[in-house]
Amino acid sequence: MDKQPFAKNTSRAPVSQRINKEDGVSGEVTINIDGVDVTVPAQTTILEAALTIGIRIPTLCHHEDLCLAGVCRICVVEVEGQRTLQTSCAYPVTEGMKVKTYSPRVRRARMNILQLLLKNHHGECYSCARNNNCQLQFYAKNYGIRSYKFGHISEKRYSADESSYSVQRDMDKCILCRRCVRTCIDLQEVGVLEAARRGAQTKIETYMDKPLNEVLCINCGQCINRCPTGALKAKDPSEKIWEAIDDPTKHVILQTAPSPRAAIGEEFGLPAGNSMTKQLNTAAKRIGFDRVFDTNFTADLTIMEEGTELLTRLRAALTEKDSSAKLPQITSCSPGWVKFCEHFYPDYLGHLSTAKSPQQMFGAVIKTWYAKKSNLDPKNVVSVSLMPCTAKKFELERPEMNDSGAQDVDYGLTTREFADMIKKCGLDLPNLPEYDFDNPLGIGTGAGLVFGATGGVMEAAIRTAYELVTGEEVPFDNLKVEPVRGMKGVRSAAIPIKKTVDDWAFLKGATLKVMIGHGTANAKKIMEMLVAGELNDYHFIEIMACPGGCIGGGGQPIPTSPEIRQARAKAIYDEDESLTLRKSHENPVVQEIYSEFFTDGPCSELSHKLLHTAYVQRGKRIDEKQKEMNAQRVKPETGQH
Amino acid sequence: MSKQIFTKNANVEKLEPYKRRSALLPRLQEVQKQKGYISDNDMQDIADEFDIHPVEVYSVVSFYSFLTNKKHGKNIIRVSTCASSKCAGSDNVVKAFEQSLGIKAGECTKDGEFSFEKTSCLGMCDVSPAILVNDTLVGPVNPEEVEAIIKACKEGGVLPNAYTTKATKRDGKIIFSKVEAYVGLKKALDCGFDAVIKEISESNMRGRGGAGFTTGLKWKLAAEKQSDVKFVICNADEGEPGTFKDRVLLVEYAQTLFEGMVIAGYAIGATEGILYLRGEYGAFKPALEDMLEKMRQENALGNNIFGKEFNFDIKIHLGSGAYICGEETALIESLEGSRGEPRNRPPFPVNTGYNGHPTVVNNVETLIAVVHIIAKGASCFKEIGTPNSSGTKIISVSGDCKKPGVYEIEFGTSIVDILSMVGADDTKAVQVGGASGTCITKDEFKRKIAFEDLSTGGSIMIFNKTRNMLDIADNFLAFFAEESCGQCTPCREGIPVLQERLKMIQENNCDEDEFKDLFSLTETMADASKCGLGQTAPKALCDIIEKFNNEYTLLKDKKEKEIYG
Repeated sequence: MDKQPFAKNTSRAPVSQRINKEDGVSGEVTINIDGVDVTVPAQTTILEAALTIGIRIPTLCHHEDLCLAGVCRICVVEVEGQRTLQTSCAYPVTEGMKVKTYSPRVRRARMNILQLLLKNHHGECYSCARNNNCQLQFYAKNYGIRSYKFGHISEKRYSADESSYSVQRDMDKCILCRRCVRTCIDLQEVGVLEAARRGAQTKIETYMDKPLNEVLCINCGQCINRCPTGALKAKDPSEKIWEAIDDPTKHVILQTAPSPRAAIGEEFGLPAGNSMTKQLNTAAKRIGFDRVFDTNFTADLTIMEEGTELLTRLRAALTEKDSSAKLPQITSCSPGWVKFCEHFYPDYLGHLSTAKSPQQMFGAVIKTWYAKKSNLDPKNVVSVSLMPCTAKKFELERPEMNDSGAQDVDYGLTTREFADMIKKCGLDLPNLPEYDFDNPLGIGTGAGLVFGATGGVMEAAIRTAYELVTGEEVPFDNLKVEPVRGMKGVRSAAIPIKKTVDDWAFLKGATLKVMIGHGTANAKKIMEMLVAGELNDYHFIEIMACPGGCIGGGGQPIPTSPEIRQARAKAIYDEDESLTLRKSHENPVVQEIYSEFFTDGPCSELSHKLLHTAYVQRGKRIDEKQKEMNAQRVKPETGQH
Repeated sequence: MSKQIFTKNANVEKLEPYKRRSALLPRLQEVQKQKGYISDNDMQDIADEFDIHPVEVYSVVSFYSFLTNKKHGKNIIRVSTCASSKCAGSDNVVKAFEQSLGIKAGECTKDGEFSFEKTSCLGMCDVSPAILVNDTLVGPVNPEEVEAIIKACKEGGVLPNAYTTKATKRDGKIIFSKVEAYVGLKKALDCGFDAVIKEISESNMRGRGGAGFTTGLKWKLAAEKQSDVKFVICNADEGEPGTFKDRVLLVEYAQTLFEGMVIAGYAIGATEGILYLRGEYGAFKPALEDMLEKMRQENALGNNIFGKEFNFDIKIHLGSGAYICGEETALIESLEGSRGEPRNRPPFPVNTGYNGHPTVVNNVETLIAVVHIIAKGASCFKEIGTPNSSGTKIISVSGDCKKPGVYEIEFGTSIVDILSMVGADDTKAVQVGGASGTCITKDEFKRKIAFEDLSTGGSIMIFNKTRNMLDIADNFLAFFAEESCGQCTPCREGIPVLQERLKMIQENNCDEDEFKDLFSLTETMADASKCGLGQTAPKALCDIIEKFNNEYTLLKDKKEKEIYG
């Protein structure tokens, strides 16, 4: 399996937090765990070794995506010959080692540690977003906690930070495992959260404990996905959506992105990798949405706009030697990545495609073309999106996203929040009948679908651009553009263009060079190469803020791991293969909208007004100006608006 | 437009960021010294400079008690709150300052002239109550002198009882015995590094910081590790309440100490030594720098030391007020510009230490003893002490006695002998090894200072019959609560529970079940904490409530068990 460790190997992780691998130690060792001999590769941790014989040692600070911490201490075990208990997550096995994972001493330690964590864990489970999916709750049950031996805090100590459009923090529920810190600093390299102060005063804080919307948070929500408790959650708009559904004057539309359907089954007890596309439509209709549309449609539209933009830039750069045409062009459908770029590479925003994300294109089309076609007053149309993403909540509030005359997308739901709405109606999603998307915006292609996985936008773009330019299908088996698939953090591919149709003759003999990165730590690597001038011969780069792309988004079911993301990606690729329409330009609705509405074609004046956007040079100084910009009170400075 | 975060070093991948970060704490100290605090702007500028995130700078600033992002007074007065100072009346000193300055501890005067704070042990227990006025250690402080101290700060006069670095005549069998400068070093260079390690191993020398790891073995492991870059670090971050031996050694035996570092460097194949000096001893830095300069001129440091193909130099790194940095891996984290949070072990520093390189961390006293061992031979060292604990121990004695101070004793010396040496009558309890050590009562006074009996980093605190031992335990816990790094659960969350339960005991409001839970917790803290601080934090409390159970009564069973809050 193409397993890509992220923060585990990052150079940024302090020495103490890297996986302790000694050079030159290899081979296998045999150890004894609870009386059972087990042979594992040298340098395996006790935790991993125990798992091979079916022992799940409890963990809280440990996470498969993250570097070591060894701070929660819940995973302690007894290692013969060691005076103190050792953390199994950090301790490498050595030949002949004897380990006890549930001796009286270990059980006492785990009970006491749980009691200590529960002491200051404020709030009860009923009102928590993570009720029934909380690791602390899980262990409290498993270890038979029936009373609070060391007391239980009854007063809140901190006020919850609900300033952000996307991510909410309630430090009263924090158990200081620091997964969010390692996610933010090491995995994503955004660097918003860190442990501050010391001793009992230790608290995870932003810079100077400012509200999240005043610092450089990119809203990716990866911290939420890795929080073991309810200390981090997304801002849930579902109450407002229920109100709209219950209001007979409102026409409520749901657009669903490709990734939620590949993951929402997990919220209903299915293993990762089961697509629920059509059951999801049924659920949406039963909940009361008037229409359920497919975001894949605007993903296809994105390919048309973004692809045209790329070819235009290529023409300008190659034939007109126009240096203002910024190449490589970089994708802009990931709002977390866009904000990352606005903060850390504000001088390179010109490389971003001006095309809006599929969510925002959809919003603009619904309240214009669709409203007109359906004789609806846009004022009565409520546009809701189902996204795998928390950053989409911020994106739809951006002041430049009002091109239809009103806010283009009214509410953004995460996969988790939509699962809750389904559950509220008592719907058993996996066993619902199948229902197709509504017309007219219910047709999306497989190309739009694969947007959900890292490399998907690139694959979709290549399927269309290659065919437009050469007049032939991409030269890959069954349209599977394998070189851009996989989970490697940064990868690149080169596609030679041997022949062209007349319009694109200037590309004849050229080699299209592309690069893909997912997770903002990898985005940073790519941008550093770009800044250093090492990517001058590249043409198109896809960057997604989240590890794995949208399928690993901050709004997806919890937990997440490399295996889970791999399974979700596979579900998407399999579904793509099962479809007949697999190229964006073949989408009949896309063709229809260009003949009916955007009659001047992609990147025309009207499409620029509705389907393209501009960016804000936010920079990374944390000050009053930053606060204004993050509060969405500042209009963009850079772009074509 | 502000500068970009990542673009300054285009080769960001090639330059490992943590290496650059090593200069972070000195930089922060510089700004703290210049401006009295590190402002929002400064933190962000420094983050740019080091190519790290502002929150990382903020996180580090908030960790160390000598760094602050809030405006301080022009003068900072810190009063030691350790048990010795308390016994000597530090509460009255605090009151006097609060009255004279018109502010509470932790505040700043309106005119911005003074900040007043309480702090952990200053290493001045022999002259307590002690205070730290800006860089200057002062003790003992009489409440009547407080006005004079404030006046001296304002007008630049001489502080009464400021600590002077005047050498005293000291006697002892090893550390305080005479050794000609560089005899040890020259001998070491002549006999080769293998022989040096062999000699140290033969001497049975064990680390003097408290843990007692065999010095020869530590050096051997580091020497065997293949690496172009290795480090010798001298841990001069003594902060254990009641310990002040390093203060004396740093002031009076600096040359021998540095010579010991050079020998260690030679033995393990290091080219660089770092003295990690606790922030409270910042005033000693200039004299120590002078000594290094002198040694460079004498060719005992620098290139081709004494004509041999061996280069070694030493730099001094100042701490910023964090007891935990005395833990060797926390010390290394701190040197790397991070919060002083202990690491997971393995890997051990001899393998993966400072900036990932093999590193030997030795106590001040250990490195001085090394010089004597090399100069005079392992056998001279080994014949002193007990079979398991060779040599002598420098102890710092404070509390209720007539002659507090620093003494060199042979391992195997009993507590009774020490008490009579320092003129302690009426002794109720002796705390051996500081807050993390062992509390012993009268019937144990025959016990001996030795690794196999009472192991200590040097702190001996004496309490007479007038002292309430539960108050002493409370003082120790307050110290740990202040100094815990807050990283691991048992220590961070456990210490406040210990404090709560102790308070319940003091108020006669603890029943037997709650008492049992308390003991269960102390065992878990000892078992499961990440480092020695958490593991030993409950020790004194356990000793005291076990051995002085006549000083409190437990409830049989609470009728209505109160839930907290």
